[in-house]
Amino acid sequence: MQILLTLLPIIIIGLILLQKTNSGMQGSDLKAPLSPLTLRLQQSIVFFLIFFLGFSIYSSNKMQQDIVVKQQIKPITIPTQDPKLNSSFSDLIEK
Amino acid sequence: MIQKQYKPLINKLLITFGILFFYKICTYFPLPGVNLDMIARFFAEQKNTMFGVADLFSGGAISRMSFVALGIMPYITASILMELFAHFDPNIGALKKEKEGMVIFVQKTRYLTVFIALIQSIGVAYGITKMGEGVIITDTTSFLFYSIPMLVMGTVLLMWLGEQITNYGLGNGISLIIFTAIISGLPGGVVNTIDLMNNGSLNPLIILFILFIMAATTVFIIFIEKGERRIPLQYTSSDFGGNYLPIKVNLANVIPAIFAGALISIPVTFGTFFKDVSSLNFINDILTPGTLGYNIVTFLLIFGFTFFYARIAFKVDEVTKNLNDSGSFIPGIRPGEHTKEYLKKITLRLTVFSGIYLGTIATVPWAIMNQLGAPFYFGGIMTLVIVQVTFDFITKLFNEIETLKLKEKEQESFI
Repeated sequence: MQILLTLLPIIIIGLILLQKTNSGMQGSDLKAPLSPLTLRLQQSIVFFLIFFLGFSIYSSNKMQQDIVVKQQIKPITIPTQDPKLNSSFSDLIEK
Repeated sequence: MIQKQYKPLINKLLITFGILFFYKICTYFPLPGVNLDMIARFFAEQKNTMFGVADLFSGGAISRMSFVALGIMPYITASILMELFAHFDPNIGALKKEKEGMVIFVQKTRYLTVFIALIQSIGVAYGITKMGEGVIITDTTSFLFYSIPMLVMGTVLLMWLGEQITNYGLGNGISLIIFTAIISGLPGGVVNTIDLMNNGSLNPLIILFILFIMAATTVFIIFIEKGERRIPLQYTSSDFGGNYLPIKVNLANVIPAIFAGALISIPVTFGTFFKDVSSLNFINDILTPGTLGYNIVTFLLIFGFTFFYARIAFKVDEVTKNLNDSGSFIPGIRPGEHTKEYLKKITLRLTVFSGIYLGTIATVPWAIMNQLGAPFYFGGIMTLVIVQVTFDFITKLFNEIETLKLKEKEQESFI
């Protein structure tokens, strides 16, 4: 899971940086030299990976929270029903 | 029923709001392995410090330790730095003048964003591990291993989402992301204030005064932002009168304030994370928002950066050359060197005013509200961003509507 959480962001960064653009620059109306199909494909992959990463983060968090909850709950030790103890106890009552 | 010709506009609006909604959801996904209860407790203590302000600008992403906690600030810092490089390095400056060069320029800005985000994410991730025992549920090494790329990716993702809005939606995507982050924190602030009023902790008269300060700041900012210095122009080739060269009163825009804020936040961030270092603690104490030290440092930094950035925003040499090329001149001023000197004098006055204006709105409103015990952060720079983005968005929306109407008229006349 940890490798997935490390690799997925790196892949997403790479994919985003591959998409050459000039948007965000003020006063520019020049468009990116990418074909619409390639662009759409890259956009879809990024969105898919982001959703996948979101799911991974969610499940990883849930797993870790479960571990914390388990650690916080102290094990309750139930006294074992020792037959010897029981017998001695009943003997004691009888006496 | 929506008319057919408005469909492209509706699509653009849907893309814009859809992406902004997606961004907001991203702020609710925390970094794996972080104890959120302890983080929330830490940020509750840091409410009125630089961290609280940074958290507001990130839309709560920092206090939730989301993977988009770094926000869009590394991209803004990278853009400002690239503008500065373009101003001082002619080779980089030349890139902006042609189509292919512009793509390279933007690509360099994106690489610089990754570099800045990487440095910041190392600081933040390492800082989280030093915040105290129990903050990290998992072991430190593996936390650093995945949280650093994830934080960098958060910023790159926001940059990309901003680009998608600019390309396929309406308005400037990056500005809209900052706007969403700020606006989304307001309902919480209002609820908090109402609660305090109901509890009797906050006097209704003080709330009225706080509202008055907020309204007065907003009106003042709108008034200045709409203001321009109009220099009359005369054309040699025609008899047209009434032409003028408009120069914005706030020449340097919001950038000096953002840059100053980013610079101040560096020692404060380190000071908060590394509490053992006494010199950093001292800086942290001085630079608490609302204090005198913070206000003086902020004011001076903004004032200095305004002078720096105004030269980039308004290039006197280029404007003088353009006036010459278009055959226009300022009545009473000789073209060429005299016009250049005249424009320099005007821009210097405007820059001084711009610096005082930005420095004042960045410090005074919050200083007053802090004294009044306002339960939420309200700063002039935050209002300035909201005002500018709102005006920009409305202008673009009306332009789109007008273009669609013109197209409709063209089609009707053609039929």
